[in-house]
Amino acid sequence: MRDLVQELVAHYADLRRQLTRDLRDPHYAADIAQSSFERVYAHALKMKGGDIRIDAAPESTQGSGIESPRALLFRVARNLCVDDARRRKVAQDWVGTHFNSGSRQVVPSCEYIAAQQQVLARVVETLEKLPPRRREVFLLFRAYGHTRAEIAQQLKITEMAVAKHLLRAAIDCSRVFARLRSELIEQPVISTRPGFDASFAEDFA
Amino acid sequence: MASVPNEKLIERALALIVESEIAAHDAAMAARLALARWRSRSAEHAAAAQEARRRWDALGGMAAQLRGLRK
Repeated sequence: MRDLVQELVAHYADLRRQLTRDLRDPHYAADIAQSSFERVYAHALKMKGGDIRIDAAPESTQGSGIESPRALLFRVARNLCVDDARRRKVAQDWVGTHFNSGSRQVVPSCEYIAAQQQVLARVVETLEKLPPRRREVFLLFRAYGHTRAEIAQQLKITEMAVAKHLLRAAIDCSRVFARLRSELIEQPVISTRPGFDASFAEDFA
Repeated sequence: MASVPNEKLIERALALIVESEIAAHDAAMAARLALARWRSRSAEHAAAAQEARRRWDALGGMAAQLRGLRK
């Protein structure tokens, strides 16, 4: 098992680089790489002995041979990208069906726009209430893609402080979704948009 | 509607996700392993991790949108 983990670790950076090139979105690429890693790791946990060479991908619908952890990692990532694109398409179609009053409108409906704006407004409201430094850390990391070291240097704080601010900000903003969910159970509304995880739509339906 | 994962578990998962995203090199890999182990504990842990990931991704999308508004 240790060998397998070491091999996965060795290929993880390559996978992330390739996904960043292909997807042109470093955060999305990181998410896919992370999920791929987790799936291969979880699959390996189920295997007795953690042999370096393991069976085909857990998600695979084709091929049943033996392949290397690197090939498996990259194939799981490719499958995840395909699945994600499919989910987004389904969610878009769902929104189109439920918010366009049966007609083929090109522009989004008022309800759709309102739902988007409601979520964004709540998050902005939460961010505005955060201590300025915490808000800055969150935006520098999540909106501008700066590293922990870069943020620490820019704001003249320790890297540990950056991590703490980011986590606190993420949790505070995350609670917006919990509150909205409880409100929307009484008054169902869907919210999905490009760059926003469309799978939230499933929860609000 | 599927049952909603416990909020405490979601926040724990979010903490692991943040750690795996912000840590550098070996520490990031250790954090990813910790997250993978944590989510494999139970179906509820897995659901909480999935929900936390959705929220983290959604916040990333919104942060990118805010960056656009700042320009």
